[in-house]
Amino acid sequence: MKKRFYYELITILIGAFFFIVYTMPFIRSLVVSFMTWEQASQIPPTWIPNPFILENYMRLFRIELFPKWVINTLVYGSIVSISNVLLGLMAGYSFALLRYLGRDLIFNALLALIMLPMFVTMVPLYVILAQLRLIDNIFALPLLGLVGVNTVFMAKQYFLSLPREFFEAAKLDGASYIRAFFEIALPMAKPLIITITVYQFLGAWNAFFLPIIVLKSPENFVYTQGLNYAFSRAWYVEYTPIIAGTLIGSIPTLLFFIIFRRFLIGSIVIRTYRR
Amino acid sequence: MALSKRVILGIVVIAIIAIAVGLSLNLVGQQKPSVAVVIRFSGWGAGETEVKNYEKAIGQFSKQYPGVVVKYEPISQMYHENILASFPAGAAPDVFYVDSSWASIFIKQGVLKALDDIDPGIASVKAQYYDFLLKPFMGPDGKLYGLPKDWSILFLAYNKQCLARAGLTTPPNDWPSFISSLKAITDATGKPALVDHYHWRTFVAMALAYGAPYPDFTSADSVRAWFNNDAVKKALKDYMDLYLDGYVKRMDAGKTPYVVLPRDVDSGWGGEAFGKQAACLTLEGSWMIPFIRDQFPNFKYGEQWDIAPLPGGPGGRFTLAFTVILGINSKSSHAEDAYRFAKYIAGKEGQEFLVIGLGHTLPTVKELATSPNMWPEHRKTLDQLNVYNNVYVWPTMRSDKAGAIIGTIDTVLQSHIANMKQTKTYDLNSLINDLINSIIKNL
Amino acid sequence: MSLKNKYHVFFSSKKHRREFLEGVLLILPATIMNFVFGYFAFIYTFYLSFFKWNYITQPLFIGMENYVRAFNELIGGLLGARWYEAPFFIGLRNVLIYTAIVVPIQTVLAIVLAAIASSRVRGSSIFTTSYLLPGFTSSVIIALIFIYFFSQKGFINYILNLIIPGFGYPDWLYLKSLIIPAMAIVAIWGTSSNLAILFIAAMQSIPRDVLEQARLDGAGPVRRFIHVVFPLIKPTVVYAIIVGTIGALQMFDLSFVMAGPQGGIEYSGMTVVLDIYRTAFLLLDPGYASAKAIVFLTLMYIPTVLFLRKYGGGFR
Repeated sequence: MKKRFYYELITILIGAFFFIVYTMPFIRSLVVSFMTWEQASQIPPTWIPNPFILENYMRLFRIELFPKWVINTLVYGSIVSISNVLLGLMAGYSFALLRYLGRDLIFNALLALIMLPMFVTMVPLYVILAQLRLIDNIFALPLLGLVGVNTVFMAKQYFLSLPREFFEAAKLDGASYIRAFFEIALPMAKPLIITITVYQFLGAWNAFFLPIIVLKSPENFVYTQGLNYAFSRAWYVEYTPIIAGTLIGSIPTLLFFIIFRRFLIGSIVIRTYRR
Repeated sequence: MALSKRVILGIVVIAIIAIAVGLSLNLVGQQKPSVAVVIRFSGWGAGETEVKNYEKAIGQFSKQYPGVVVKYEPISQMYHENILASFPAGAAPDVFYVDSSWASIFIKQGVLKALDDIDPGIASVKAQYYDFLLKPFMGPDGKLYGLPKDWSILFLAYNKQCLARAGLTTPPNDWPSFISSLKAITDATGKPALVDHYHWRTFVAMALAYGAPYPDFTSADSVRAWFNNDAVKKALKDYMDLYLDGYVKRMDAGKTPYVVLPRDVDSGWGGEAFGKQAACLTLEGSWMIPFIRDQFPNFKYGEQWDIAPLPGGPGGRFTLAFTVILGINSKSSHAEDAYRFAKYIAGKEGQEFLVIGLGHTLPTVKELATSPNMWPEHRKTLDQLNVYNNVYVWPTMRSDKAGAIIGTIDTVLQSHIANMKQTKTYDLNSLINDLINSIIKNL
Repeated sequence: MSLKNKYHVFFSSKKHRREFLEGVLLILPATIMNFVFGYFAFIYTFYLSFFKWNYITQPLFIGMENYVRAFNELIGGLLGARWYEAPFFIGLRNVLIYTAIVVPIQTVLAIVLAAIASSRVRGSSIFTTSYLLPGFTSSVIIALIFIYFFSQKGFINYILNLIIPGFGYPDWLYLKSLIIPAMAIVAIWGTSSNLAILFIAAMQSIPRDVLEQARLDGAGPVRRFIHVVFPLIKPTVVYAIIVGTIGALQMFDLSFVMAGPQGGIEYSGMTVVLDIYRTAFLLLDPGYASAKAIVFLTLMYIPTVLFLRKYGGGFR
């Protein structure tokens, strides 16, 4: 029993060490965001803001485009979340439960796209969007991400894991497959819907690569891009407002994470083990 | 699962609200053109002061032309590259800055509209401006491709107290004695004497004063010839030695350096370091003047700091002039209104407000040069012009690709400075080779 | 049944026809979008790689010239060309160094974090939350925070000087030798957290009675981990290594934010994807950028696929 106690103590100590490592940047940022740059750049670092100022946040809010960036990101995130849920579940349902010619061929062709990295397609995507006159338009981003291959794959796995009897019963009733999707499959997919929504929303909130290729004028930027832009003017060296901005940028993440923590971990089980 | 139901509902509601808000904003944004013409206007985001002043000037314009809405969209990084890249997608702004070093490539690519094609009375417009400032923006067809919105002179700003402590009233007039005065200034004040970016701007001014010919970067041979010129080599050696002796060796010996990069004193650029009084001297242009007044109101021109001409040398005494046009997008669907806006901002009235009134830089409209409202610091830079043998217009090189070449030169200089900090030495020949080869790669 | 017959049966049956029509209707949006933005775009890239173009003028067919240029940069870099002559090579070299640092460390760390999180010691749920948070935060936001920490008088130098007296105060992001390690540290911090979720899930799915049995057999926690847990999560380890490697090779945003779009001093912070981005959108040479993308894809995927063939059987 004594031995076990030591093991537990060691685990707690190591755990606490990593706890510090993984929270320190956030804690330090939080403290610094209320400091003057003069204090924040002191060495050795101090921990109590003196004077305690809100100027760093005010500076952020004074940027006229700040609310626009947040709204752009929300628009992007909402559209991809909804479209992925709807279109992804539709496809996943069809791939999982219907049987028709070419189904597996198409599915495998889609699945192979998971391996196709973004950098290979970025030039054509830019050219296609330019042809559609969608460069510098926030709606170009959700268009590219309307329904991800990942989503389709997750949805297919999810529907395969459900008992088939539900759907067999519907078939006997003579309901169409599409009706069965909306009336039976969709209501049964709540955990999946939450997972997809959270992942897509956070994905949009954290997106950077596509936005910097597609969006050109500051008023169309998404949040992370705007933050990088606002404070990376060549002649700007004070970091405290940036730090304040990063903290605000982490709020949605934090919220989603705290509310859905169990879901997110659980969904990984679906993703990795129900293949 | 009771929670999840509410959560899903919550998400859906939030999402719908967000979309509704986003769409309605977007629709409002798109309805505007039916009421008014929207002109998109881009410049580089040159710090808070300039952005603020431009917004004021745009406000003035909107009062006169209520039918035209101007959206100001400064771009922070790699300005000219970004503007060029947004053309093929039709996402380029209607009016935008073009620096004289990028003008020829912009004209060659056909992205700028010739003003002669918009305005039949262009001759009388041209006549209002200084000829030497229009020259970089004339195409091979002899047409003008934009109106110069302002111009700037490179000068030497000095902190009066610093110099007084070192027993000087003004900085020395030639490069060698200027360089040797720096150490004395630092020793007397305990403050770094000179802050410099270590880039083409300072270097070319120095090289010309040392007697270098006007840089010709039109062919590989001419690039090699210029860098192998003795005066160029001497200037480059003195320039690099200055940092080696004035920063690297001083730091090693634990002494205050007498030359620093802006970064070395936690600043973004020379003007900021000078305004913060982290350094006593800097070579900057007219754009620094409103910045200092705005950001460092207690650091007063005339009392604490003053302006001197650049040092000279055996080749003569020279300074550089910088100018930027407002160019019109060749594919703009509102070219006429865009031109109207450019003509306002770069015209007499606009410049009187922005350039003279807000003290931005120097007016390109000839008759404004005598305006009684010009800030005294700007007046002084103009008065000092007669000291110089010549004023060279930026980019101070013969080349079609000056913009990219300057970027390359600055990068190479920066990399050798960074290496010098680590190795405590540098190799002049390898620096010259790198400069030559990297420039040739751009040709 | 012959193929012809199969079709006959298929289309003659009303039920099958209906299933086909509705099934296809359901997958149509997903299929079209992904085929256009995936396969079509990929073929387009391949096509563009044979052209000289600046987005504005008419594309000019130049055969293999873009590929020759790309290989010249790679070979030139190997033979010691100066940095400005070989950004593609420097990007590749940097990204390989970066991957070699990041992948092993982040995988081991993720396993350790997951083990602590699943250990059910006091406080483990608080630990879990803290470990997983960075993984959900945007890498750009993380990079912006760390730029401040990596400044000369920043937090990292302060800590390092506490641990190693006399470490000094290097300017990480402006030193050729330290900028990639700096990015690696940032990446490890974020991605180990991300991968930890995978391992936590993997460990949760281990049946409890297996562990209980091992405990009754007298195995201590360390031995239990090595002999029972590790073999069971091995497929996840392979998966994490592959995903981690592919991700690290494609690194872009950390480099863009921490080194700038030009790749930093002497391209010391350049990565291949940043170089492709720069070539396509700042140097306006989409043909050359496409050729570089195809070359990198080939260089990156052949080893990955070979690795998969050899070791990856367990996870597919």
